[in-house]
Amino acid sequence: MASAEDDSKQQSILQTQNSLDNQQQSIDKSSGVPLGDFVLQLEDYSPTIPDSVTGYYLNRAGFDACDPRITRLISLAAQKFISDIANDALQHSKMRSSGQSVKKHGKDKKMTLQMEDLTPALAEYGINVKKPAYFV
Amino acid sequence: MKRNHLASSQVRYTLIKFCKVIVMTSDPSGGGTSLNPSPWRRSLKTAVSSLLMETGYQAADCMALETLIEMTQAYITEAGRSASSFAELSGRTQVMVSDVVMALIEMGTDFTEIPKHARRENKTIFLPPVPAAQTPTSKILQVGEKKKHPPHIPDHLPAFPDPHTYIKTHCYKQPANEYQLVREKAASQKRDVEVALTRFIAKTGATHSLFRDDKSAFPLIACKQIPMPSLAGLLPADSQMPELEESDSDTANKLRHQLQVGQTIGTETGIDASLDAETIDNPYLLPAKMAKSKWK
Repeated sequence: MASAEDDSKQQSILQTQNSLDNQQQSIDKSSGVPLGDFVLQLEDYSPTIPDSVTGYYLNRAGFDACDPRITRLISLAAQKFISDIANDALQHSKMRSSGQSVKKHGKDKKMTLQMEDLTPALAEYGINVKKPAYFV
Repeated sequence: MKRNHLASSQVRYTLIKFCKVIVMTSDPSGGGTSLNPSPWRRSLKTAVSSLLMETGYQAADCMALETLIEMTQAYITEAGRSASSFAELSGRTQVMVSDVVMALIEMGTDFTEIPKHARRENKTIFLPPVPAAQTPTSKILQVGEKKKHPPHIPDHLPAFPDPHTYIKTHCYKQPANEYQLVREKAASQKRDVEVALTRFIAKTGATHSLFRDDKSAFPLIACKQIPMPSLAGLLPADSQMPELEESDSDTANKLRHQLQVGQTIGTETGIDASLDAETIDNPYLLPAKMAKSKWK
């Protein structure tokens, strides 16, 4: 474990783990594809959060990023996290606006992220936010 | 209804603004307040704003946007910390994909969805801003050059402090141990002491000059004139005087007379003799005892 592992070796380890998973649950095999393949595709990919920004925050946490693909993997995970929360908040605001009458129909096209949509979306993830509505 | 009215009066940012290139300042802190955000924080704001636009929002409350930016920063920091901990647990210093996967699982992320998210159609990419030239910190209080990092330490860690704070250099000179140098030094010191002492006595006491014209060229310490210098050896001590007075002899009278003469002229002959013979323990210091005359 102390020596450096090749991607193929790690890929085989993840594959054996995933084959066990497939035996236990009936998951489609494509979702159990190890991330080793995906990391190789990250060579040319540019995530929305720039590499330098992610790299800066990782350095502050003590993470020595030698491989830029790993940095991109973490920035993609963070992006996905935020996108999921934003989607949930959008669902909440659509539920809220569907209950209202049609007279606000013109303004409904402009969706605004508000705290009253974000709070229940975060509560589903276990994050409880309590912010003051206005500054005193 | 009232709530919507209140929300509309709040400040709203149009998200399209943040997709432009942001100029960086030289603020190094990662977090910073909302009044003076660091450049990294502002890049995160742009990225989060673009993600919200992809989701379908056109505007966002500043408080909600700040919440999401804070969560992004915390997520990245926690993922990095957790991944490096997993790597260290396995005895590695370089982080591998497996460590990152374990860290993401710890945080409750479904990592199998990540490739799906990466392949979304409406992803937006913006160029990170070019860092402007940073003004170097003033070197007023810096003494000496800071040491460079050894090769095993990455550059993003803080630099070494000023070398004088932790490197100790002795400020004394090694003393000379060679016999020749020490002997020379001892001899020259002895000579210096003698010369200085004689000069001091010559300047403060009576001097006898060699040259008639120049009195101060070569001052010699003047000798004190003692009249009849051989008298001191011949005369007995003063304490022996009562014994001599008992014996009625011419020699005793003569000696007494001479002693009186010597006392008036010489000043230092009787100093040693003034000591009482009984208090002197050293036999060599006792005054001479004259043989008693046997002429009766």
